[in-house]
Amino acid sequence: MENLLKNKSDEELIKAVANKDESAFEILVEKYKYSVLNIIYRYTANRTEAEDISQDIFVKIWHSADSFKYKSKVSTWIYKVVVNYCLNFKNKNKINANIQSLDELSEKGEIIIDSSREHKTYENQETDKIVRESINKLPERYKMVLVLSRFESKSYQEISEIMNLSIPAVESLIFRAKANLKKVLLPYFNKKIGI
Amino acid sequence: MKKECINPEKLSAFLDGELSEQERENIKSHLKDCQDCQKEASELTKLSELLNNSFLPIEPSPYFIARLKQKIEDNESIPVAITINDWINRIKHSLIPIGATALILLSFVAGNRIGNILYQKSSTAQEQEIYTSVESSILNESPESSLTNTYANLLPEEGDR
Ligand SMILES: [Zn+2]
Repeated sequence: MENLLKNKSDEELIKAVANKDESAFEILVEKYKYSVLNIIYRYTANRTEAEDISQDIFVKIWHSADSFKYKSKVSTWIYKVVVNYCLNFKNKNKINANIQSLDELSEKGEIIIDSSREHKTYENQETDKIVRESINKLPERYKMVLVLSRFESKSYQEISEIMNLSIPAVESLIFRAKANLKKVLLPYFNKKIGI
Repeated sequence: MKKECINPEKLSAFLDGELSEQERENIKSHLKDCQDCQKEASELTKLSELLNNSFLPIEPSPYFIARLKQKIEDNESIPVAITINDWINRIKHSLIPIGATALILLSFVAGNRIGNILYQKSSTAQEQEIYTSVESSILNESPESSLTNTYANLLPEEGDR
């Protein structure tokens, strides 16, 4: 049964999910959990919250698969649920966008700090922290387009469908996000490599 | 005469592998001769490299699906904002715990007021409210009243290519 389902298209899977087929749902979750989790992770900069919200997203998908209209790709619809959740409920809901400190992350074993405190490892961690913080400070929509484009490798066309924006609007938002980050990160980066 | 410089938004899109063949050719040929645009391109490329090497992805926990299933079960077993008919059906099918049944019977006796209190006290009531309120806007494939749309309307250079 599971093997048969594995060869099904997303459309067939979502149809089965709409009929409360748990095996189909599991396959759909398996397929999308990694990217759903990582979009939210890059957006919230908080691993625990990201996992929690990802699950809420899938609960929502389980309950509303029957509202899928087959007008877009299933993947676009799923990402749309993610993006809307993040953008619309940021303040009301549990997304607090408080970036976790490196200490917190290492305490939870999310970052393995090299006990020898190798210089390079330390520098990478510092760079990582500065990148996370800079991304986290971006205006919400800049952050979301950047996450979809840079981290999820979505094309401008896909982002425009997911976010209900025109392609020039996506182009503009992505550029503004990059310009913002460039201003903050490049001076730091240049100093680090001695320019 | 130096050709007009590349719009930085287009340059950024070019570096992301976007744009038409013609636009890409124009940008390439301008970049050959313009140091200003070369500098902008090299900064954007540096930024991309920095982003590609930071903020690495995480793996879902091994309990992801198990916890998800639990959430769905919890969500389905906690009665929130449902109608009296639903309650009656649930009782008929013995789908809810005895404690909850007692509470419902109590609410029958006391009327809607107690029902309302129960609603407010439910831990997932707020969440449920969110589900219901977003259902129409989020789950439509083209939500017309979404914030993203509103934002799109605010952008200066709107219009499809
Ligand atoms: Zn130029």
